[in-house]
Amino acid sequence: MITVSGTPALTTERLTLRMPASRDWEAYAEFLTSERAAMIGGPLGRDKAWRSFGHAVGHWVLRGYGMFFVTPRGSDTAIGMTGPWFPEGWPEPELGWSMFGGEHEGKGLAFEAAEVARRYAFQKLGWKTAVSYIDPANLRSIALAERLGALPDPEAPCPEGVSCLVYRHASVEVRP
Amino acid sequence: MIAPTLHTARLTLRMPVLADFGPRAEFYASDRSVWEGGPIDRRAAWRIWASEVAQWSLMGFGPFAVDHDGAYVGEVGVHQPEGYPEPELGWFVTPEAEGRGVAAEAAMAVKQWARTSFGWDRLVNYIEPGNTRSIALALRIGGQRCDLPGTEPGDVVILHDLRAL
Repeated sequence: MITVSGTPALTTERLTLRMPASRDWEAYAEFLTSERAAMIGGPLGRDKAWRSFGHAVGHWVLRGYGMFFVTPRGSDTAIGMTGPWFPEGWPEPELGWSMFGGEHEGKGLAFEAAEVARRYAFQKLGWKTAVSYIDPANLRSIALAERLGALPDPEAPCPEGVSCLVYRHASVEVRP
Repeated sequence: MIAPTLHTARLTLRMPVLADFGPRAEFYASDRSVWEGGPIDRRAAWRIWASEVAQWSLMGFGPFAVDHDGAYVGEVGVHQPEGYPEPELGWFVTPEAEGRGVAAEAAMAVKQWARTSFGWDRLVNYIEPGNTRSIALALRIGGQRCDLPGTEPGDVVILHDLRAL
Protein backbone atom coordinates (compact mmCIF):
# COMPACT_ATOMS: atom_id res chain seq x y z
CA MET A 1 0.00 0.00 0.00
CA ILE A 2 1.51 3.29 -1.02
CA THR A 3 -0.72 6.27 -1.10
CA VAL A 4 1.42 9.06 0.29
CA SER A 5 0.21 11.53 -2.28
CA GLY A 6 2.18 13.93 -4.37
CA THR A 7 5.58 12.31 -4.05
CA PRO A 8 7.64 12.89 -7.14
CA ALA A 9 8.85 10.42 -9.74
CA LEU A 10 11.90 11.30 -11.78
CA THR A 11 12.83 9.76 -15.10
CA THR A 12 16.06 9.55 -17.03
CA GLU A 13 16.86 7.89 -20.32
CA ARG A 14 17.09 4.46 -18.69
CA LEU A 15 15.65 4.82 -15.19
CA THR A 16 12.68 5.77 -13.05
CA LEU A 17 13.21 7.12 -9.54
CA ARG A 18 10.35 7.01 -7.02
CA MET A 19 9.51 6.79 -3.33
CA PRO A 20 10.10 3.33 -1.84
CA ALA A 21 7.04 1.11 -1.33
CA SER A 22 6.29 -2.17 0.40
CA ARG A 23 6.95 -4.13 -2.81
CA ASP A 24 10.62 -3.03 -2.62
CA TRP A 25 11.24 -4.74 0.70
CA GLU A 26 12.62 -8.07 -0.56
CA ALA A 27 15.07 -6.42 -2.96
CA TYR A 28 16.23 -4.14 -0.19
CA ALA A 29 16.50 -6.98 2.33
CA GLU A 30 18.59 -9.03 -0.08
CA PHE A 31 20.97 -6.09 -0.47
CA LEU A 32 21.28 -5.18 3.22
CA THR A 33 21.76 -8.77 4.37
CA SER A 34 24.54 -9.29 1.80
CA GLU A 35 28.25 -8.49 1.94
CA ARG A 36 27.60 -5.62 -0.46
CA ALA A 37 26.14 -3.72 2.49
CA ALA A 38 29.48 -3.74 4.34
CA MET A 39 30.20 -0.18 3.19
CA ILE A 40 27.01 1.20 4.75
CA GLY A 41 27.06 -0.55 8.12
CA GLY A 42 25.92 -4.04 7.11
CA PRO A 43 25.40 -6.83 6.52
CA LEU A 44 22.38 -6.78 8.81
CA GLY A 45 19.86 -9.37 9.93
CA ARG A 46 16.38 -9.10 8.43
CA ASP A 47 14.93 -7.37 11.50
CA LYS A 48 17.51 -4.59 11.42
CA ALA A 49 17.29 -4.44 7.63
CA TRP A 50 13.57 -3.79 8.02
CA ARG A 51 14.29 -0.89 10.39
CA SER A 52 16.62 0.52 7.77
CA PHE A 53 13.98 0.10 5.05
CA GLY A 54 11.35 1.66 7.29
CA HIS A 55 13.76 4.50 7.98
CA ALA A 56 14.08 5.15 4.24
CA VAL A 57 10.28 5.26 3.90
CA GLY A 58 9.72 7.17 7.14
CA HIS A 59 12.24 9.80 6.08
CA TRP A 60 9.94 10.55 3.13
CA VAL A 61 6.85 10.61 5.33
CA LEU A 62 8.40 12.91 7.93
CA ARG A 63 10.60 15.19 5.86
CA GLY A 64 8.77 15.07 2.53
CA TYR A 65 11.83 13.86 0.63
CA GLY A 66 14.32 11.03 0.86
CA MET A 67 16.06 8.27 -1.01
CA PHE A 68 14.48 7.60 -4.39
CA PHE A 69 14.36 3.93 -5.25
CA VAL A 70 15.72 3.37 -8.74
CA THR A 71 14.06 1.04 -11.23
CA PRO A 72 14.95 0.37 -14.88
CA ARG A 73 12.33 1.94 -17.14
CA GLY A 74 9.77 -0.67 -18.03
CA SER A 75 10.41 -2.63 -14.82
CA ASP A 76 9.27 -2.00 -11.26
CA THR A 77 12.10 -3.88 -9.53
CA ALA A 78 14.36 -1.62 -7.51
CA ILE A 79 18.06 -1.93 -8.35
CA GLY A 80 19.34 0.83 -6.10
CA MET A 81 18.59 4.09 -4.34
CA THR A 82 19.82 7.64 -4.38
CA GLY A 83 18.58 10.95 -3.12
CA PRO A 84 18.53 13.75 -0.60
CA TRP A 85 19.03 12.33 2.88
CA PHE A 86 19.02 14.14 6.21
CA PRO A 87 18.42 11.82 9.16
CA GLU A 88 18.84 12.90 12.76
CA GLY A 89 22.55 13.06 13.63
CA TRP A 90 23.78 14.11 10.18
CA PRO A 91 25.78 17.34 10.38
CA GLU A 92 24.24 18.54 7.12
CA PRO A 93 22.07 17.26 4.26
CA GLU A 94 23.54 14.48 2.15
CA LEU A 95 23.19 13.14 -1.34
CA GLY A 96 23.34 9.36 -0.90
CA TRP A 97 23.44 6.39 -3.25
CA SER A 98 23.67 2.59 -3.21
CA MET A 99 23.32 0.01 -5.95
CA PHE A 100 21.70 -3.17 -4.63
CA GLY A 101 23.48 -5.70 -6.90
CA GLY A 102 26.83 -5.86 -8.64
CA GLU A 103 25.19 -6.75 -11.95
CA HIS A 104 24.03 -3.14 -12.25
CA GLU A 105 27.47 -1.62 -11.83
CA GLY A 106 29.75 -0.42 -14.57
CA LYS A 107 26.95 0.87 -16.80
CA GLY A 108 26.73 4.43 -15.54
CA LEU A 109 23.34 3.77 -13.95
CA ALA A 110 24.26 5.06 -10.49
CA PHE A 111 25.68 8.20 -12.10
CA GLU A 112 22.56 8.71 -14.17
CA ALA A 113 20.33 8.29 -11.11
CA ALA A 114 22.42 10.36 -8.68
CA GLU A 115 22.70 13.22 -11.15
CA VAL A 116 18.94 13.58 -11.57
CA ALA A 117 18.38 13.15 -7.81
CA ARG A 118 20.94 15.87 -7.12
CA ARG A 119 19.23 18.17 -9.59
CA TYR A 120 15.98 17.53 -7.71
CA ALA A 121 17.60 18.47 -4.39
CA PHE A 122 19.01 21.70 -5.76
CA GLN A 123 16.16 22.79 -7.99
CA LYS A 124 13.05 21.49 -6.22
CA LEU A 125 14.16 21.41 -2.58
CA GLY A 126 16.28 24.54 -2.92
CA TRP A 127 19.40 23.04 -1.42
CA LYS A 128 22.47 25.24 -1.87
CA THR A 129 24.96 22.48 -1.21
CA ALA A 130 25.11 18.81 -0.28
CA VAL A 131 27.72 16.38 0.94
CA SER A 132 28.23 12.68 0.41
CA TYR A 133 29.60 10.64 3.33
CA ILE A 134 31.65 7.78 1.90
CA ASP A 135 33.51 4.90 3.53
CA PRO A 136 37.20 5.43 2.65
CA ALA A 137 37.36 1.82 1.39
CA ASN A 138 34.42 2.31 -0.98
CA LEU A 139 36.42 3.06 -4.11
CA ARG A 140 33.45 2.73 -6.46
CA SER A 141 31.52 5.28 -4.50
CA ILE A 142 34.48 7.66 -4.42
CA ALA A 143 34.81 7.32 -8.19
CA LEU A 144 31.13 8.15 -8.60
CA ALA A 145 31.43 11.24 -6.37
CA GLU A 146 34.33 12.43 -8.49
CA ARG A 147 32.49 11.71 -11.73
CA LEU A 148 29.63 13.82 -10.38
CA GLY A 149 32.09 16.67 -9.89
CA ALA A 150 32.02 16.57 -6.10
CA LEU A 151 35.22 17.63 -4.34
CA PRO A 152 36.74 16.38 -1.07
CA ASP A 153 35.91 18.70 1.84
CA PRO A 154 38.34 17.83 4.62
CA GLU A 155 36.90 20.55 6.87
CA ALA A 156 33.39 19.10 6.91
CA PRO A 157 32.55 16.82 9.86
CA CYS A 158 31.35 13.24 9.48
CA PRO A 159 28.36 11.96 11.44
CA GLU A 160 29.50 11.36 15.01
CA GLY A 161 31.35 8.09 15.47
CA VAL A 162 31.63 7.46 11.74
CA SER A 163 34.90 7.36 9.86
CA CYS A 164 34.27 8.70 6.36
CA LEU A 165 35.36 10.90 3.52
CA VAL A 166 33.21 13.94 2.87
CA TYR A 167 32.64 14.96 -0.74
CA ARG A 168 30.88 18.24 -1.41
CA HIS A 169 28.52 18.94 -4.29
CA ALA A 170 28.40 22.57 -5.35
CA SER A 171 24.95 23.75 -6.32
CA VAL A 172 24.01 23.75 -9.98
CA GLU A 173 24.25 27.53 -10.23
CA VAL A 174 27.81 27.78 -9.04
CA ARG A 175 29.17 24.66 -10.67
CA PRO A 176 31.41 25.61 -13.61
CA MET B 1 -1.83 6.28 3.35
CA ILE B 2 -1.60 8.39 6.45
CA ALA B 3 -3.37 7.88 9.75
CA PRO B 4 -7.02 8.86 10.01
CA THR B 5 -7.93 11.22 12.84
CA LEU B 6 -9.79 9.60 15.73
CA HIS B 7 -11.54 11.37 18.58
CA THR B 8 -12.29 10.11 22.08
CA ALA B 9 -13.88 11.92 25.02
CA ARG B 10 -10.64 13.73 25.85
CA LEU B 11 -8.17 12.90 23.09
CA THR B 12 -7.38 13.35 19.42
CA LEU B 13 -5.40 10.61 17.66
CA ARG B 14 -3.67 11.70 14.45
CA MET B 15 -0.84 11.10 12.00
CA PRO B 16 2.57 11.71 13.62
CA VAL B 17 4.56 14.68 12.34
CA LEU B 18 8.20 15.70 12.60
CA ALA B 19 7.56 17.90 15.66
CA ASP B 20 6.54 14.81 17.65
CA PHE B 21 10.11 13.52 17.50
CA GLY B 22 11.27 15.67 20.44
CA PRO B 23 9.28 13.88 23.16
CA ARG B 24 9.90 10.49 21.52
CA ALA B 25 13.65 11.14 21.59
CA GLU B 26 13.46 12.28 25.23
CA PHE B 27 11.71 9.04 26.10
CA TYR B 28 14.36 6.95 24.33
CA ALA B 29 17.14 8.93 26.05
CA SER B 30 15.65 8.31 29.51
CA ASP B 31 15.58 5.30 31.78
CA ARG B 32 11.87 4.99 31.06
CA SER B 33 12.86 3.32 27.76
CA VAL B 34 14.63 0.42 29.48
CA TRP B 35 11.79 -1.94 28.46
CA GLU B 36 11.95 -0.78 24.84
CA GLY B 37 15.63 -1.47 24.22
CA GLY B 38 16.81 1.89 25.59
CA PRO B 39 18.25 4.16 26.63
CA ILE B 40 19.44 5.12 23.14
CA ASP B 41 20.64 8.37 21.60
CA ARG B 42 18.69 10.69 19.29
CA ARG B 43 20.22 9.29 16.14
CA ALA B 44 19.18 5.72 16.94
CA ALA B 45 15.79 6.90 18.22
CA TRP B 46 15.14 8.68 14.91
CA ARG B 47 15.75 5.51 12.93
CA ILE B 48 13.38 3.47 15.05
CA TRP B 49 10.69 6.14 15.12
CA ALA B 50 10.89 6.87 11.39
CA SER B 51 10.50 3.15 10.67
CA GLU B 52 7.45 3.05 12.95
CA VAL B 53 5.83 6.02 11.23
CA ALA B 54 6.66 4.42 7.85
CA GLN B 55 4.27 1.59 8.62
CA TRP B 56 1.39 3.86 7.60
CA SER B 57 2.81 4.01 4.11
CA LEU B 58 3.91 0.38 3.99
CA MET B 59 1.12 -1.46 5.79
CA GLY B 60 -1.76 0.96 6.31
CA PHE B 61 -1.40 1.00 10.09
CA GLY B 62 1.08 2.43 12.55
CA PRO B 63 1.38 4.77 15.51
CA PHE B 64 -1.12 7.55 16.18
CA ALA B 65 0.17 10.66 17.89
CA VAL B 66 -2.12 11.48 20.82
CA ASP B 67 -3.08 15.06 21.70
CA HIS B 68 -4.88 16.23 24.83
CA ASP B 69 -6.07 19.84 24.90
CA GLY B 70 -3.91 20.48 21.86
CA ALA B 71 -0.73 19.18 23.51
CA TYR B 72 1.15 16.04 22.52
CA VAL B 73 0.86 13.43 25.28
CA GLY B 74 2.11 10.26 23.60
CA GLU B 75 1.72 7.68 20.89
CA VAL B 76 -0.60 4.68 20.66
CA GLY B 77 -0.98 2.41 17.66
CA VAL B 78 -0.40 -0.83 15.83
CA HIS B 79 3.04 -2.15 14.93
CA GLN B 80 4.36 -5.08 12.95
CA PRO B 81 8.04 -4.67 12.15
CA GLU B 82 9.92 -7.60 10.62
CA GLY B 83 10.03 -10.50 13.07
CA TYR B 84 6.76 -9.73 14.87
CA PRO B 85 4.43 -12.73 14.59
CA GLU B 86 1.36 -10.50 14.27
CA PRO B 87 0.28 -6.87 14.66
CA GLU B 88 0.93 -5.46 18.11
CA LEU B 89 -0.95 -2.81 20.05
CA GLY B 90 1.65 -0.46 21.50
CA TRP B 91 1.64 2.66 23.64
CA PHE B 92 3.81 5.41 25.00
CA VAL B 93 2.86 8.47 27.07
CA THR B 94 4.97 11.42 28.15
CA PRO B 95 5.97 11.57 31.84
CA GLU B 96 3.57 14.48 32.36
CA ALA B 97 0.63 12.48 31.03
CA GLU B 98 1.22 9.32 33.03
CA GLY B 99 -1.42 8.21 35.50
CA ARG B 100 -4.29 10.04 33.79
CA GLY B 101 -5.74 7.17 31.78
CA VAL B 102 -4.52 8.61 28.50
CA ALA B 103 -2.96 5.39 27.22
CA ALA B 104 -6.03 3.35 28.16
CA GLU B 105 -8.42 5.76 26.47
CA ALA B 106 -6.34 5.94 23.31
CA ALA B 107 -5.73 2.19 23.22
CA MET B 108 -9.45 1.47 23.39
CA ALA B 109 -9.99 3.79 20.43
CA VAL B 110 -7.23 2.04 18.47
CA LYS B 111 -8.71 -1.39 19.22
CA GLN B 112 -12.07 -0.23 17.92
CA TRP B 113 -10.44 1.32 14.85
CA ALA B 114 -8.51 -1.88 14.07
CA ARG B 115 -11.67 -3.95 14.35
CA THR B 116 -13.68 -1.59 12.17
CA SER B 117 -10.96 -0.97 9.57
CA PHE B 118 -9.48 -4.43 9.15
CA GLY B 119 -12.01 -6.80 10.71
CA TRP B 120 -9.24 -8.26 12.85
CA ASP B 121 -10.29 -10.69 15.59
CA ARG B 122 -7.42 -9.81 17.87
CA LEU B 123 -4.42 -7.68 18.73
CA VAL B 124 -1.58 -8.62 21.04
CA ASN B 125 0.94 -6.84 23.25
CA TYR B 126 4.54 -8.02 23.51
CA ILE B 127 5.81 -6.79 26.88
CA GLU B 128 9.00 -7.44 28.81
CA PRO B 129 8.19 -9.23 32.09
CA GLY B 130 9.65 -6.41 34.21
CA ASN B 131 7.40 -3.78 32.66
CA THR B 132 4.70 -4.26 35.25
CA ARG B 133 3.07 -0.89 34.58
CA SER B 134 2.46 -1.77 30.95
CA ILE B 135 1.23 -5.25 31.82
CA ALA B 136 -1.24 -3.78 34.32
CA LEU B 137 -2.56 -1.39 31.68
CA ALA B 138 -2.97 -4.19 29.14
CA LEU B 139 -5.02 -6.22 31.62
CA ARG B 140 -7.05 -3.18 32.71
CA ILE B 141 -8.27 -2.52 29.17
CA GLY B 142 -9.44 -6.09 28.68
CA GLY B 143 -6.34 -8.03 27.66
CA GLN B 144 -5.57 -11.53 28.86
CA ARG B 145 -2.26 -13.31 29.22
CA CYS B 146 -1.83 -16.05 26.63
CA ASP B 147 0.66 -18.57 25.23
CA LEU B 148 1.06 -17.09 21.76
CA PRO B 149 4.66 -16.64 20.58
CA GLY B 150 6.39 -13.37 21.43
CA THR B 151 9.09 -11.43 19.65
CA GLU B 152 11.70 -13.01 21.91
CA PRO B 153 11.72 -15.69 24.58
CA GLY B 154 10.28 -14.51 27.87
CA ASP B 155 7.96 -11.88 26.40
CA VAL B 156 4.66 -11.53 28.21
CA VAL B 157 2.08 -11.83 25.44
CA ILE B 158 -1.33 -10.35 26.10
CA LEU B 159 -4.30 -11.02 23.86
CA HIS B 160 -7.03 -8.50 23.13
CA ASP B 161 -10.15 -10.14 21.73
CA LEU B 162 -11.68 -7.66 19.29
CA ARG B 163 -14.66 -9.77 18.24
CA ALA B 164 -17.05 -8.17 20.70
CA LEU B 165 -16.20 -4.65 19.49
